[in-house]
This record gives sequence, structure tokens and C-alpha cells, in this order.
Amino acid sequence: MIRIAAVGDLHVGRDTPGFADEHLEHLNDCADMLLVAGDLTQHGYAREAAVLSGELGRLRIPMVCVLGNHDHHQNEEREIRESLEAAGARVLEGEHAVFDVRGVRVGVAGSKGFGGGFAGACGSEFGETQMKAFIRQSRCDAANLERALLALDCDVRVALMHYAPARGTLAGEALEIYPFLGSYFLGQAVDAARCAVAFHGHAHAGTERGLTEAGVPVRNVARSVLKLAYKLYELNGAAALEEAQPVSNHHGRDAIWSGAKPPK
Amino acid sequence: MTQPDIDTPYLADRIKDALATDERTHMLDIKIDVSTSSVCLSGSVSSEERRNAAEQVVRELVSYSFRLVNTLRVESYQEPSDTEALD
Repeated sequence: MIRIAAVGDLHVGRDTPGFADEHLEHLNDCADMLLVAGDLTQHGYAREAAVLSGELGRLRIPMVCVLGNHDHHQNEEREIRESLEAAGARVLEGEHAVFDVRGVRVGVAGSKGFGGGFAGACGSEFGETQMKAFIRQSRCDAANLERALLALDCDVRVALMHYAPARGTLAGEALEIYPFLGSYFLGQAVDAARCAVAFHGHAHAGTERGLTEAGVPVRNVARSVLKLAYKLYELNGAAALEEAQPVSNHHGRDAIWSGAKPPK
Repeated sequence: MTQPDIDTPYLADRIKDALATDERTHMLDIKIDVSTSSVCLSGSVSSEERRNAAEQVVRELVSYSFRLVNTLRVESYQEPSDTEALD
């Protein structure tokens, strides 16, 4: 079994740590890796990230993060990333990393992602320059995520985002703000790569469990949703070794599966 | 600094915007209920400092004719006691 600890929306600040001492000890004992789904900081300052980095530096397991919208607010993304990487975390933006967990190669690709909405109720690249730029950015972020996922040479693929790839995990949020919470482009990327699971945050009032259109499990791990410091998930590594390889859907076409069996 | 406001049908929206953009808060998930005589803040925050900051930002925005009810909870989260199998 591969034990993944996941959480998002830590919103660390000078008054708010990310993980207490007991959390760090528990993570070291009970998880094979930690995934953090963005909004590491409250105000977007590198000095807030430094608080978290001090904590993460005490973990002995692989750590993977994506940034969230809060982490962009002061334009200190580069400094935030450097701080986290100095603590040993991998920070992914259209990038991937592979970790060996007891002989199973676990691949994680990540991106902050962006909004735009979900099929049937989403924006398009039409009209004003600003509207076209918004949707183009969302499409671009998702395409980068898909490329990173498909480039993984691994036994099991995991997608990590801040914005949501499916609407199911937004239940509880106001319908009016769905386009600011996620994008179906991200769901297409997750489906194209036949991910075992996709984690996201951002939707504080959402729901933990959902599925992409092709049936990939999606977990909204925003801390306020989990009501926990983080959650532990298990993946069956042996089953992952038997999965078929993915085929890209090139965004805009239906997901194409190389195997007869869609993901559970 | 936002100027103090009078009663307006857009007051909840203005409070929401202030909590999101004020550098003391940057909070996007506070629920705001406005009646003719009161403003109620609800939801959760991670520290007493953030709870007080939210109240301060809202107090500066709304007229003192409104009663400000701050029901924000300060949450602390524990480590999980179990694991979810995904396959």
C-alpha cells in the first residue's frame, strides 16, 4: 500500500503554523509522502512560507506542493518556491516528480490550475481581451498539467492542483462562484493521464469526494473540508503496476483510453 | 482604508470584498448575513488574531448603527485516526 497524506489551504501566517509538532511526528510515522494542494500562505508573503518551510524541514518523507491563489498575491511566488525547496519539498507547476515507495514508482504532476467553470457552464475564449486571457490561461495551465502527467514514467499517476478538476467536490459552494473554483480543462488532463487520484483544494465550503467525467477519484483536501490537519489515503501499488498506459485527449476531445477498463 | 458606509443593499458584497482585499485579512470564505440592524460574520478562522482582524475590518466599513455579531470559530485540526483506501 502507498500511504499518501494530503491537505490544502494551510494559510500559514505568523499567527498560524501549518503543522503542529504532533502532526509532523504522525506524518513521519504513518505516511509515505505528503501532498499540499496550494494556499500555503495566507497573504502570499515568502516570510509566511518560511514558517511552513521550518516545519517541513522536519519531515523525513517526500513532500510535494503546488501553489495557490493566496501564494500569488504579493508576487513572491519565486521566493515562496525557493523557501519550500530549501526545506526539501518539490514545488510543481506544470512539472512532475517520481518517488519510489517500496518498489512502486509513484508519479505526481502538479499545477495550480485556474478557473473557468465546468462543461455546460463555463467561459470561452470569446469577447473581451480580458475574458479571452482568463480562459486561455486556464486552458494553458491544464495543458501543462497534462503534459507533465503524460511525461511521467511511473506505475501510478497522481494529479495535484489547487483549483478543482471536477464540479462534484464543489458541492456546498455557491453555484455562482464555480467558475472561480475550477475548470473542466483540469479534469480532462486528469482523465487523459488515467490518474489514480486527483487532489485539489481552494473550495473551502466544498465536499471531499468527487469524480472526474471518466471516473477518476477526486479529493478536495482543503483543510476546512477535511476538518483534519491532513488526511491519509491508501493506493494499491500492486494494482497500479497492472494499469494500461494513457493516451492524450489533446483537450477538447473525449478522453481516449488505451485499455478497455476505465479507472475505478 | 475604506470609508465608513451607510446602510445599503450592497453592504454584504462590500464587506465580502473588504475581507478579501484588506491586507489584514485576505479572507475569502467568511459568510456574511446583513439585516436591517445587524451584520453577522460566520465561518471558521485559524487564530484569535484572524478573528479579531476580520471584526476590525468589518467594523471600519459599517455604520455603528449596525450591531456586529462575530460568530467566527477558531478551529484547530487534529491528525487523522484512519485511512481511506482509494482502490
